[in-house]
Amino acid sequence: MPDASRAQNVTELLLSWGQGDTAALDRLVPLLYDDLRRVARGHLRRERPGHSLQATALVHEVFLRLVDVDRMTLKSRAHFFALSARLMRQILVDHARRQRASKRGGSATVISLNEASGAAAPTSTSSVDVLALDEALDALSSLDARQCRVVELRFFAGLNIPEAADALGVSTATVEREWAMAKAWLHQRLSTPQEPSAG
Amino acid sequence: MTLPREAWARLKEAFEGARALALDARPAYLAEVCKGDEALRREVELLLAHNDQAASFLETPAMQLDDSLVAKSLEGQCIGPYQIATLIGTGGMGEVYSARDTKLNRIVALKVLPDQFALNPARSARFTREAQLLATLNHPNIGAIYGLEESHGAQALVLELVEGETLAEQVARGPLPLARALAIARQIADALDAAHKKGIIHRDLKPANVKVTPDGVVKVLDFGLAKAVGDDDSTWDLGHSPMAILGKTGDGMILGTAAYMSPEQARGNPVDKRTDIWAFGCVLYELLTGRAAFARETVADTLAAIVERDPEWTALPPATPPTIIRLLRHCLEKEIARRVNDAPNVRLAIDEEPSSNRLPAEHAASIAVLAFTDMSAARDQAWFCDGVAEEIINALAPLKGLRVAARTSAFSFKGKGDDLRTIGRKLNVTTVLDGSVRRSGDRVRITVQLNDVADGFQLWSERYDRELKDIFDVQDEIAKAIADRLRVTLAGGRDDRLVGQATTNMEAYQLYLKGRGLVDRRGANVPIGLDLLRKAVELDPGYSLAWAGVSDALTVMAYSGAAAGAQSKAEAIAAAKRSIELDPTSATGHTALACATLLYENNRAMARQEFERALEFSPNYGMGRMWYALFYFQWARGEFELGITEARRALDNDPLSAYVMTNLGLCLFTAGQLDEAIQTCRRAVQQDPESFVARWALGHSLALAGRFDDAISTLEAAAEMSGRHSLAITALAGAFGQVGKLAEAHALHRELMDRATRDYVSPTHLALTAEAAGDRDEAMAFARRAWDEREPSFILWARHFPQYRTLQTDPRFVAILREMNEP
Repeated sequence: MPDASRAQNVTELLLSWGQGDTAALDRLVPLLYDDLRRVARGHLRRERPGHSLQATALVHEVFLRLVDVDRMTLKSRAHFFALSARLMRQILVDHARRQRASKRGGSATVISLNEASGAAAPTSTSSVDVLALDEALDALSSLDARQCRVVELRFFAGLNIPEAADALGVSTATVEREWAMAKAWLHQRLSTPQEPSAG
Repeated sequence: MTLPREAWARLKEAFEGARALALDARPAYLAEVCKGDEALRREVELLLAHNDQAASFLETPAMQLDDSLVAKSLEGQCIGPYQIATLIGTGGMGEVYSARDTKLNRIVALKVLPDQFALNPARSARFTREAQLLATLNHPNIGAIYGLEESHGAQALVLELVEGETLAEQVARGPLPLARALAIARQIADALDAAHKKGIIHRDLKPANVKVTPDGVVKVLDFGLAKAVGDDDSTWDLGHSPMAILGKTGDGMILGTAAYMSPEQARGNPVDKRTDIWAFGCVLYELLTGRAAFARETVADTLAAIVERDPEWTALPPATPPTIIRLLRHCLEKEIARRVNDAPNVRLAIDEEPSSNRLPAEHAASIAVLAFTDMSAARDQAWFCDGVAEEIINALAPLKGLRVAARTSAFSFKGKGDDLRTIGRKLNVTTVLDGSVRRSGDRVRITVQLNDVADGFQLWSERYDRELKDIFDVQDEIAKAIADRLRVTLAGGRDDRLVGQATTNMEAYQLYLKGRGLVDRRGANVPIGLDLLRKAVELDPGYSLAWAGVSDALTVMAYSGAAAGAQSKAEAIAAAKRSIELDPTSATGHTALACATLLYENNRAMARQEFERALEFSPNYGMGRMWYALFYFQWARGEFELGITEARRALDNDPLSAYVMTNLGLCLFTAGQLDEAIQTCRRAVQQDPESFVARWALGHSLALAGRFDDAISTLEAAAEMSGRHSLAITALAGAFGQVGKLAEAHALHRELMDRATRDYVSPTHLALTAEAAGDRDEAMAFARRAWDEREPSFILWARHFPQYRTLQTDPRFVAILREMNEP
């Protein structure tokens, strides 16, 4: 499908969903998922140059391509990013799972806690992978769904605080608070030994 | 452990409450809010502790992390002849490294594309095509693409490494003054015009893609790369839209490219050169106001603003001229058809503003140290004055963040009475140090003043009354005072010396200064200078620079045919080695050894190694770079383009030096680029009408171009002014020979033969005059002798100097060359 008509389509679906048409969401998810996955995969395989697709911008690329910016409302935009963030988490977790399967316990997408926190000690033994983070997020979600959404938007979709606030329809102060606690809680959980994850 | 919802709510409340408080206020708060629930209290404290550790945890988005992990892997590796040094950024698609070009011995930027990229043949081919097109862009305001390199499946673009700040960095400190903003804008418009004329659109122009070099030249980077690396699998093309990129800066994420997209890019419509005009408008607006025209907190808002909103025109400074406001409005028309249609029209508008004409190199400190005026009673201390100023130049030259005009160029204003402004403009510097020296016996008085070129304002002045033995201290103090006034940071502490105590023997020091000065003047001055330098090392055997001077003087005499090489070989090489022993980091010492081993021992490998070492220690050592260009690349290796490139760099650093100009002229002449060679040599003659070497080079170039009348008159002048130096005689004989004036050529041959009965005359030169006079057998006999005696003049010139071409057709000469080139 050429971009122009796809953009037409996604835009319509977003707008309908915003007006309460839940069937629109069902049609929107596969469209968006396919696109995000294609872009993310190319990126993960490094077929595509890093900068122009620096993952932070990945959802924005898809947004630009699939959406008619002239017709977007605040609400439909928020819906787009919230949905994309959730899908990105799914895509990256799937990717990690496939990697693990193909490498038999390999660690291609393991992000060590230290690296993820910016410290320079990649040899540290306290590392967790995306899958462990995924599990921890599931636990967090049952306690505080909004904190889980914030982590998806910030970490998996790469949005900044105001963008995340937009997508959730809350103030930036709220996002900051939720983000801080979610990080502390996840940090605690991931650095405390849980039952060993596979491999 | 799973907390029930209610417990979570209490935890959250306590955590957030405590987090908002200062550390010492927390215990009291927690005691209050937990009301004896110790488990909750521990839970909160634990969470607070993790909160402290998690400051940057998860702050880098997942996929960007993936990027940075891969990006680190290339440092230290080689791609083709490029040795990768450090990652300097992830800009414009892919990682950018600084790398050393091991062939050309220069530092370049490498944009390394992902492995998988090269494995997609269609994509790779397209990229190669685009890169080839982009490589044809040759404009002073466009960062150059040198080439494309592939190895082990990695593809890399080789780019000019442009030093200086980006406009993004500059504007982060606030708006720019109007004149400066316009001067920059005008150069950007020139760059756009040059590219658009070739059908190349930038597509991603933004402040982060424009640099201003320390010399004040604007360089637009990453031209057209957005398209070159674009996706190929759909109508979606990076060419349409260079992406909304978030860059990480400081404490948060800011909007990158999205803010500079044109409305047509934001809509995903096709673009043309008017998209660059839009981006240009955004850049100029930002330079003037200090803020981006359309940037908002989120990408989505930014895009909406681009499509719908006008920039805030009131943010422009009140002094903005109406023509410029009109220009901005026209560049930022949302409707592409109503926008200014091309870069020349942008330039016209800017040119209407008289204040936009020149961009001073004001953001980087730069200085010219002029030759000090001799105020001593007898006016006989010129060499001392030059020496004092030169050592200050040498001390300042390696400092980062300070550009120092080279000695010859700065000294060329000596006694000419030019005003500061003229000097500043010609040398492109913002400050000038002027001084005078008065010596009487063991006392010296040095006065210096540092002036701002732009307004003539005196930044600093000082008078030193000292004993001669304190001269190095005075120089050190002056250098430090300058660094201080120009706010240049010194690498070491304040106590590290900038001017070392080269010798403690003042007599040796004076002999050295005088001797060096004479050697630099060439011709008949060299043997006199050599005597003084020899005396200097006798007085102070630990004087590294003087040893290098001895070696240089001997080499110069040997290669110009003024003395027999066999006699000076041992001393020249030993002196160079001694100099390095005494100071292993001396660029002067390593250059001396490079020349000596190349010319006396025909050792090209070692010469190269020593030249490279010298330039590593001091990239600004012009003499080293120039000899590397001419002696090594040009004449020893016949790598003409490399020689020309290096010689041009040497000239960039020392733009008013007749000697450096002459050497570039010789490189061009050897490479057969005769028009430019003649032009360059002519400029050298104008710069220094008393240089016979410049005339000699000009004469050679004219003769090779077939302009024999001009050549002969030029070479006759060179012969006269040099006291009939055998170099000039051989060139003149060659020109006569070429036009069939064999009698004249023969007379010159006789002249040298007669001289040879009394003084030393290089057999190399006799071979050339014999050949010019038509006596091939005699020419061959002299050539054989020259090689058998390992004459430096022969080793230097026989391989590639054009005057040897007729000789090179003779099998006997071919045999000699074969011996020369044996390892």
